[in-house]
Amino acid sequence: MTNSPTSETPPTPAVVFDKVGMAYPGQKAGSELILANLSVTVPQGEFFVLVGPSGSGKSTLLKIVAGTEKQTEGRVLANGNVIDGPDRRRGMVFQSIEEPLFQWLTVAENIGFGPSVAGKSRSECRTIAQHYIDLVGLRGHEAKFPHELSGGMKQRVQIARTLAAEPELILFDEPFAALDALTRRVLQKELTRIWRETGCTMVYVTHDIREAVLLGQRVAVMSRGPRANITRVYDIDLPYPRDDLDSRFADAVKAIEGDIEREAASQWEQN
Amino acid sequence: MGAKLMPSYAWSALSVATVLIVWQIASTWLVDPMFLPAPMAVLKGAGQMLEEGTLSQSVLVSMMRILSGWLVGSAIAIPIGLAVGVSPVARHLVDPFIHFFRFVPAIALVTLFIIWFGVGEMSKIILIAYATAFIVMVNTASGVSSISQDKLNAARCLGANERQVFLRVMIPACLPSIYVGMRLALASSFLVIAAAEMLAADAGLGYIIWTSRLYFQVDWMFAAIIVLGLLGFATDRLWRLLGRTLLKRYLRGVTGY
Repeated sequence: MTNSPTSETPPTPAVVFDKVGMAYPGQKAGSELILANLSVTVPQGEFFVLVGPSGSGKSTLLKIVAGTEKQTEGRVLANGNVIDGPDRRRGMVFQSIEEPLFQWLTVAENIGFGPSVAGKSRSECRTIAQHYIDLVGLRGHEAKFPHELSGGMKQRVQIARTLAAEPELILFDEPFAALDALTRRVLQKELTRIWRETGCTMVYVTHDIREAVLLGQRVAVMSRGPRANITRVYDIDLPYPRDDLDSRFADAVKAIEGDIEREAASQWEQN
Repeated sequence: MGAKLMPSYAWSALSVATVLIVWQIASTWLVDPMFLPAPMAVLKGAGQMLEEGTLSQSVLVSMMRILSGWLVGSAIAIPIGLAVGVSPVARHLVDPFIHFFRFVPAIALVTLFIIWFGVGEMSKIILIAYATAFIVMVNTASGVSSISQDKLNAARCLGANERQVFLRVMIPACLPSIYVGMRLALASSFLVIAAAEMLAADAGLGYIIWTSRLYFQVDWMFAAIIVLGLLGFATDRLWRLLGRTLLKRYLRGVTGY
């Protein structure tokens, strides 16, 4: 922890976006920004969800926090620090099921990768890996290779591997979008449990509104790009695990859906 | 359907036996055995050469040239291929030469290399190294550049520095491409060695094939050709065995390794 919360100073937020703009190289700055003037703050320990149509720059926002891409305008702070490249403190769970895993390593070795590159001994790596294997429910699959696992299990490995690097913040880029509906539901439930058990700050990107309401304490709705921005942030004040048959759940989904539809309609009128 | 009739290797054995029988028939009744010696005659010719020691010596000489050229070529090509795959600058530096030498087969360089490096071992080893390096480099580079950004970024987000990303993700991830490249290069080494030994050598399988014509010993030619094929087959099998044992975890998913 960088600064312990004293009586006066509020804790440093996990992530601060301050007037962030993003143009990809080759484009003139300011001409066709993907993101423009985007500001939002994610407090420590929050489950924060970004929902929006594809092409709204949600993934770009995550990549900026991960440090694999750099914003062209504004500031982004993680735990009060300017982001300078990828770092184990900011973990990332990718949408791709096949690519992010190291197919030549077993489940346990994949999960122990973070501790291992941090210089921990083999036995320490194994102990840490085992802890997260148990946490994500992969006990009994330690010695398997990724090709022997189902899609859902592969995403569990990704989550466990990210957790094992002991990050302060985890970024999720539509991690369950490529899974079947049943597996997705199971993993959504598991993820809120893992979040509560670890206390990690979660920033989760999705285009699925129900998923957003199922997971997030706050759900930020993004407008369609170019010049995408956050149009509104909803507080989802429902207890976990959430019940999607609850009428308040349905109300929240409807409200966000209405927002996105209005956004789409206004886009039509402009064009 | 037919696969269930008998085990798969039995089909292969059957087809080899058929070819041998057709060959025997052809050389007995259809063609002058002077030009097409029968399988048994070839075997006798091989036995003759074995007794004299020329065959085993030639096998050793040819294999030594192939293996050393192949290993030297790979040792040079893998680092260059990795660099080309990683760095766009390295790619642009090497690209023009790749696109030029693609069309210059090793065989076209035989005489030049003899002038440069003499008729001894050096010219043959360098020739095979050239043929190998080209294939292995292109395969390695394409292996590196086809590694998904997600894989590399995943490693970085787990705390790996660039050196760790290179050693612990890039190299294992492109090992299948290196392996396949080396396998293809091994095959082309046999092609090159036969040609090189015909032009300038005092031993080797290519030398036997070439000099047998002076004595009109077509059976020796056949023996050397068959030994060349069998050697290639055997080394390829050994390479596959290595892939299936030591490198197994890296090569999973490589078709037909």
